[in-house]
Amino acid sequence: MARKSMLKVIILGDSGVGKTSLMQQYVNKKFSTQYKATIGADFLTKELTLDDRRVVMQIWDTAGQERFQSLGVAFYRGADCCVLMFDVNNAKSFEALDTWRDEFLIQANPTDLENFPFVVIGNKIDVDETRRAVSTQKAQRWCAQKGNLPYFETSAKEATGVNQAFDVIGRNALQQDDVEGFDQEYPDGVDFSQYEQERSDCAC
Amino acid sequence: MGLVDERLVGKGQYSAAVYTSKHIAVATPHSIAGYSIRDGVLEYEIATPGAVSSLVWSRDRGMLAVIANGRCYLQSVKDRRKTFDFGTTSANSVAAAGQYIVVASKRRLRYLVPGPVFENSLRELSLAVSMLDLSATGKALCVVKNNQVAIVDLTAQRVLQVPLTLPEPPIKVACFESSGLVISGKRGYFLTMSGKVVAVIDWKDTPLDIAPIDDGVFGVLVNGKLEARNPLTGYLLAQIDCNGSSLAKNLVVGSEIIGVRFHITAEDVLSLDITEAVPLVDQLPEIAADPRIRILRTEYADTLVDEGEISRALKLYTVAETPVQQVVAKLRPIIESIPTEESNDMSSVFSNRTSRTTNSNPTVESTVRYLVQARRKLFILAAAEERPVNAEDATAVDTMLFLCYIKIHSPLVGPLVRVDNFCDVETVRSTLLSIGKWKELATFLSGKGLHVEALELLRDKANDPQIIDYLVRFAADDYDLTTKFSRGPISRSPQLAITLFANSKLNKVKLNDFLADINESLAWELLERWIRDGDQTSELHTRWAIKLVKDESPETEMFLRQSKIYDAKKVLKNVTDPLLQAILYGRLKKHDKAIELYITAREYDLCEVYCDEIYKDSKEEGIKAVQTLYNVLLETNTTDRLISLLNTQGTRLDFSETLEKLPKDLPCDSIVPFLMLATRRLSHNVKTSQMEVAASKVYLGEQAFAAVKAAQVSATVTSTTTCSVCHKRVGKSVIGLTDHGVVHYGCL
Ligand SMILES: Nc1nc2c(ncn2[C@@H]2O[C@H](COP(=O)(O)OP(=O)(O)OP(=O)(O)O)[C@@H](O)[C@H]2O)c(=O)[nH]1
Ligand SMILES: [Mg+2]
Repeated sequence: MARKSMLKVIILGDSGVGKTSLMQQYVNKKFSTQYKATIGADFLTKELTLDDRRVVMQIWDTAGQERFQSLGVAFYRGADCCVLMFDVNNAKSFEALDTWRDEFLIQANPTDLENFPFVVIGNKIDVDETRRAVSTQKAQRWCAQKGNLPYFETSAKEATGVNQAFDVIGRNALQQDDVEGFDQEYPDGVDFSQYEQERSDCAC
Repeated sequence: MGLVDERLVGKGQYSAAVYTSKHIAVATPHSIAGYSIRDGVLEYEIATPGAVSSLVWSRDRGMLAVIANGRCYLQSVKDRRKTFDFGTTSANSVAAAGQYIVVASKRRLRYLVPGPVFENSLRELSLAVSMLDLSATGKALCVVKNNQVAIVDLTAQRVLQVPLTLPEPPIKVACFESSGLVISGKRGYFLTMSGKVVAVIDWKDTPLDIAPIDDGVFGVLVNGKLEARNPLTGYLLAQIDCNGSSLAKNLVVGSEIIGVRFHITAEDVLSLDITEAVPLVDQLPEIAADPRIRILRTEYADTLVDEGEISRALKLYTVAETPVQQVVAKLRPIIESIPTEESNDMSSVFSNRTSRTTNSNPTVESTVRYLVQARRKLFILAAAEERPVNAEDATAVDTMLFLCYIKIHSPLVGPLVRVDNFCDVETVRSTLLSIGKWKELATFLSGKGLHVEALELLRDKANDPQIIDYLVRFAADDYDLTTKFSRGPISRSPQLAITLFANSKLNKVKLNDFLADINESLAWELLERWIRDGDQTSELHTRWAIKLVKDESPETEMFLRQSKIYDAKKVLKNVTDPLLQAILYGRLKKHDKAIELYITAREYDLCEVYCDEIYKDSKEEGIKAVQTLYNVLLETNTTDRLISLLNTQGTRLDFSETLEKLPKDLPCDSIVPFLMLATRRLSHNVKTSQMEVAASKVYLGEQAFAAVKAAQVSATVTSTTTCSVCHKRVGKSVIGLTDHGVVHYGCL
């Protein structure tokens, strides 16, 4: 069977770690210092070539703030790679990785829990060294514990390490076999759009 | 009425008519005429290549599909030049749905796939079709050779033969997404688009026409009446009397028009049998929110559960928004009756590796999907509305999810007990204990704050490092718990205490007592570590100081000097060494005693430094200290130290008194720096200080002058230098220096 060329990647992490920024930097080569909370979940696609194979990466950016998260679990299902992201200057965002990982496993219910490709990203390394709260070693130790997850340090602002990280994300996603058994999830039943309404008047 | 306007009918013969969005398009022998729906005014007339036998409106493409003289083509009504020919010469039937348009022509089925209208968007299948209709998903319901029925999946290019032979003409077909209707003579076959006949209806008369209406029901024009029938069951839902009047032979259907007539209310649905009503609701979103309809759907879902159709039931529960607790209560016995998968080691606090065993079970899989979604909704909606999660709902969902994981996805138990969860404690406890998954249980209990229970469990099952790891993570601020459960592990492997207590925030004095009770050297090791790491507890420093003293440690002196917070009095009781005593008395601000001890210890340098330090703290005290030291040095006749003191701190002494006390045999030149500094200070204070008589008596030799010179005071004294006050020669008198030059000390 020909391997699929559509790779689904999900980015998870606390609010403000730079998920949207990283995706924007990677796909559109843009960066904004303004923070605008992501509501629900949305994706951008990017075509790339991995070892002569053309693949389309569908990158799902999710809301870090629980109240803005999407109600549907649809976008978790069928994920080929999950990116766990934190801000190297924010220890809390690093500590939250465990929970993001566990929640992902519960929601996505991948066939092979042990080998599901996670990639860990420590973002905002451009910020002054004195504000750094999570050392490279500490992050690497965590990744090693969780089954040798690849770890990257990036700056969405200065576009450092972004392409390298996504290259590995793409490769790991490719390796993930086409997962079967991601049946359709149930209709949502509750309309979430009312919450989206709220934020459009928000100036932040 | 929704059927062809009588005014149109009055115009005479026509072979086909179709409702487009704004018009009724009617085929006349040589043209297609468009009449406004609102007022019946003729708005366009487009010539046709002959008599029109079929007319179909493709809403998605905004074009009419026409068969005239065996030719099938698309015709735009806005721009009559826009056409597209299917290239057929003997088309007999055409149908449109979504972007698909399909034509039956002799032995071929030719069709346009979604996308732009191009030659190369045409596809073809070899299949002789006499009559067809199409669903928007591209499934065509066809009558093929020998009055057989087939369903053609245009996307997959697959033909499914329906085991149905139609007995007699006339034959008509109509279809929806997932259901179809075939009429043959007076008989109607309702079937699914997967080819299963679900109902057969026999009418008294031959139905004249059929059509899908309003995306929900089949309309059947029969015996002067328009019937609305449930596509899934054939059941008669409603009927309109058309007075048999001037009904056309074709049923012209427009969703709005006939939709109004068939406005189905919740009451209508509720009056039906449940198996009729529930599928109908799926088509009627406007009544779905009615609480009575929700109950109806829930009841139906319950019966589906009873019949083992869990997946369908859960979908229905979801759309009916049945309270989760109710759903869970209904499903629980079913899930509980499913055998548990083989036990395997799974993830937990202690190992984050997860392994997978999967017993696939569609019931549990569906339930998990439902629960995961329900869980997400509960948590996210609560966060969005800034209210706490409904604990009862969450407990129902999480506990059930837990049970499902135990059944088929045990590796997910780890993640579930680690994240914030509302699993029922009793259920989780008994389940995990019964299958020996104590690590998961401990993790779970910790999340619930049930640390005593978790630790008791660990004490039974876990190894010492695991217990300590738990304490570090979850009980770091609980002294009683920590000491209670760490005693055993620490007495077996003392080094665990370092892991546990090195960075502890507990009361370290108590911890030190606790540790001393188990292992004294361990207690000291930690104590030293805490102090090195900057602990500022006085009692700990005192203990450490005494320990050093008693051990006669070479570090004692350093520690006693560096630490500022030990209790010197207490330490002193243990000290016999005069130097250490000196330091401690110093701490107690008993300077005289301290100085005396320094001298006893013959630590003159240290003593001077000590005096100097006192002076820096308080001038008054400092002066007293130097004085004391001076006196002691005088008494003990330690001349060289006396000189050193005078030259370094001598100016802090009372000048005249000091001079008076100077031993007679002290060589003057040894204290030149002292004298020089003292003199300079006096000359600076010339206006205020009182001249001491004694001073003038002191005889200073040539060396003193040389020294003054050497100190680069800006005066040169020679044998001819005169006093700038009395103008007499200075000679060998004591002098002072003023802004005006050299002065007799007595003239100052
Ligand atoms: N200095 C620096 N700032 C960054 C970087 N990446 C993101 N930011 C800033 O951090 C803030 C948050 O970035 P977002 O990308 O919106 O964060 P998010 O993770 O998408 O947040 P949510 O949508 O709430 O989950 C913005 O002000 C960004 O400009 C980075 O690499 N360096
Ligand atoms: Mg964002």
